[in-house]
Amino acid sequence: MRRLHIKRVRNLMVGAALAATVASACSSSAQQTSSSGGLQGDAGNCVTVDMAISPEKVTVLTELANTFNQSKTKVDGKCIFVRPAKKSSGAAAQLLVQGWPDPANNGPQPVIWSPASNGWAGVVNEQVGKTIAPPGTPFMLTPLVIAMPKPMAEALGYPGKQLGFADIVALANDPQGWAAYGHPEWGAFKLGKTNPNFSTSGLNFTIAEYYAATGKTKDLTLEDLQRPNVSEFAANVEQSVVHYGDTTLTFLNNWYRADQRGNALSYTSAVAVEEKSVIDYNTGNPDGILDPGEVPRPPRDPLVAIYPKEGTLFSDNPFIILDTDWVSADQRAAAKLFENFVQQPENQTKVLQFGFRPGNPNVPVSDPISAKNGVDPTQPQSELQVPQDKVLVGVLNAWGQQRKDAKVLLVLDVSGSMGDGVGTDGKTKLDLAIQAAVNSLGKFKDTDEVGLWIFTTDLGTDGTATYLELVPTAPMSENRAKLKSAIEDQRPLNGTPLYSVTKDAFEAARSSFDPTKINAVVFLTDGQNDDANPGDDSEQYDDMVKTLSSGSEGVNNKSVRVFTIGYGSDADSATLKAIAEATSAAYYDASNPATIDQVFTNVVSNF
Amino acid sequence: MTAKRIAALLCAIALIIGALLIRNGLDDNSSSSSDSTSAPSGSKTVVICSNEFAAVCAGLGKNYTTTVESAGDTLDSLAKDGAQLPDAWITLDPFPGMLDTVRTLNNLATVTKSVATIASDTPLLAVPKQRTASLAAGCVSQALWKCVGAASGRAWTTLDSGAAGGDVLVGLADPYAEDVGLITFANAVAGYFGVVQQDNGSFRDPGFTSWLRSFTNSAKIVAPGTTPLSTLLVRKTDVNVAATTASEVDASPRKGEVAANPVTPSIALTAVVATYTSRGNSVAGKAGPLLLADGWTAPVAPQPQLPAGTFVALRGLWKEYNK
Repeated sequence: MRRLHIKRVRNLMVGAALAATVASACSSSAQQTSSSGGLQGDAGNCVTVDMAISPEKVTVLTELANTFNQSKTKVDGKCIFVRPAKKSSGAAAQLLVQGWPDPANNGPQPVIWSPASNGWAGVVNEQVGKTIAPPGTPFMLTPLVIAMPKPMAEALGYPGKQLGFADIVALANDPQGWAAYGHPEWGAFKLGKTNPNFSTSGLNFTIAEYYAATGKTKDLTLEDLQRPNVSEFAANVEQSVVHYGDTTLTFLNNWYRADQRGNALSYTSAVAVEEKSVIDYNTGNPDGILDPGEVPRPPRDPLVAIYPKEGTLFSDNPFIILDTDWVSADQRAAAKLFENFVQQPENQTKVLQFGFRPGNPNVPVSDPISAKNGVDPTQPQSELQVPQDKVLVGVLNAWGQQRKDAKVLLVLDVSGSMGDGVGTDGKTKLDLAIQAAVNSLGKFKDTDEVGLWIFTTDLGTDGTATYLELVPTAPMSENRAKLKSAIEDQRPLNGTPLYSVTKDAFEAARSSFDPTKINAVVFLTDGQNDDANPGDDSEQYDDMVKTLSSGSEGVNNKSVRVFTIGYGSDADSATLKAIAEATSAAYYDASNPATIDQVFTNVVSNF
Repeated sequence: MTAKRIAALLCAIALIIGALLIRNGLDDNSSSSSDSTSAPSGSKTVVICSNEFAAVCAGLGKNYTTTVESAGDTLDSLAKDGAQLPDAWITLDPFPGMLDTVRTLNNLATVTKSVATIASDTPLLAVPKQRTASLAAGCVSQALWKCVGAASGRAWTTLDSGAAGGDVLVGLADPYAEDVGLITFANAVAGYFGVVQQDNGSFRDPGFTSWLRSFTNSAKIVAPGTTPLSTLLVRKTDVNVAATTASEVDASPRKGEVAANPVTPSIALTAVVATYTSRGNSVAGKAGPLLLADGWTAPVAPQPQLPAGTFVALRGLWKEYNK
């Protein structure tokens, strides 16, 4: 009688739960938009159904959209073209609250929104003051897990012992680190988790962290968050964090690269990710996207998913047909047809192939959700309750205070090309970069330490310097105003000594390394290496990469992450990626200068 | 049942109905003794299907104008003065009787011309196969609903010290909105008392109110478009004890993953077609076969059920405990 059971019951889910939370998330969330590369054909005169979807499911939904578009399904006699585009959940929520402005930069106004969690819909509705994102039916699910290299999990008792947050926290707080478990060669316990203001998995882990601190699995309260022992517990967990960030893919890509060099155990010990990501990683596809010609190669040290015994939270991937004035009746009907298509058993089987648990109850969980891929289809056994919205806000506020401090050196390119105009309002690239850098200062807390270098050729009193330290690194409580003033004073000057300054900045950060903080360099540049001496470029490049790599290897290294921003269309993205990868950090693409403010926000999410 | 017990039961029902009468009077100033209810006048037969009978409505054909909505919504709208009656309503027994009961309470005329039973189904409680032993161990000595109602929201280890982790998560459709939900709730209450027919004052029994408070606080009302069983199959961390039916379990390709347990005592799910005009008389003949094809069984001889007034009271009771 399953088919006849259609209920209209009020959705009591997480909607309201995440609501206010994510007010904060919305204020700083990423606005990544990029079409998935695999979409075939074009909309033509068809009814176009644009989708904004969280990045981890872009491949599967693109494949389903291709099949659907080719099926010649019609609405009111017209063909349908479904067009998915990835957009982080927080970013999409923010845009929906704002009425989805500037489609040229933000992507087309969506008909369907599929964030990672239904909770984001509650956020939007609460902020807009009406229901523009009605509760959506989950079409695939994936639980939050703690991913660990199998040897490390085994050292903790896996698979015989059911592990939980308490075990992770005990290890994180143990001054002996892995030596306490017979593996001094693995150094200290290192945790990877994303920024909860940006990422659903980061938010879910942070909620779980506070539950673990209280010993509860439901009914977390603001009073709980304010207890000294809870604050101390959370701060201790955060102290083991490698860095934060806007997406788990940064961790997984870095982990995989380290693994290919045989160093997986030195980069990080555990990362809070969705179960699907463990499967992707173990099949040699850490970012879940197979580029043309990419041949997946399984890692040397596979990951295993730890389903915390205290319980976990799910990403439920709702299919939300928006109730906004830009959605026509035809688009709504077409979207409903695509939703029905996605829920069909054969397509739910496809969802399963991509590592998600099907939302259709008629499709059983099976391979690849299996032990051979490091996951367990019989887990989890219990869920943690999503706290009330006011408590979620409290969780984020508490995290903002208890997160690991950062020590960051901003390195800003002030070469002549930064004076190039962008747009029609007379602004230069440097103008936009200055504004973005100044805006980012507000995202650091007072105990973070931040300094500023500028770089170009012919600097200094004798014209031989390649960089100037304008503001020495110091706590933001002292430096905030100085940094703002110094950044705003910049004007475009000369060449771009990219290689030498990268090396210098890295070594400077290492020389003042603080093991209690996230140590990092944020490096923004718009050009190729240009120091007026092209003859030694190759040698300089090799020297730089060698310095970065050697300084980042080993379990007890002074890990300084160099986060690079390729600014404008002429930036040397290959070199900047290599720099980021050599230090297990991330490269950020701001080839469209209009996105620099958001890109800066994303970069700062690592701290 | 002795005459004394019957008298006591009638007394209890009268008290509940009296209370509802007062509440309705307070809640709805528009109530009056006049009755301007009207029947449909178009060329097509107008049929309302409760949500779980959506496929039946879809299968009736082009000569029918159909609406699919929750039984609670239908009940509330048709109980008002001036309601636009359909030709027929496909729902679960005793909703048509509840409609007339509430209308009587509202000083309105009863409207149901006939009620035809078209199919029946058996209520079950399904758990993941891995939980079967724990359920059996913890509930061996009492009615299943009484046992799981008491355990709801508590660790499985309270039922079985060797159970896997997690809490007992009982899922049901909304008893206030959905006819299936209300029958489920009635079965849970019957399970608590051990009999379908409750005794005088039973709803005020301290033991019962304590059990009910605990159950209503922890029970999971499943999301729109889903059932407790489908929720269990997709996400057993949300529901791991599902109020379901024999036909739903039988139709599931994943029935091998669950253990479906009969509940005793039980109130069967009885699909009915209530008619409000003579034009509605054609509906039962079409709807019955559709349901039988979907796994329901042929209607059985009438069994002792609770009076419609008791279901009205149970619906109010659920709402009272879920404010």
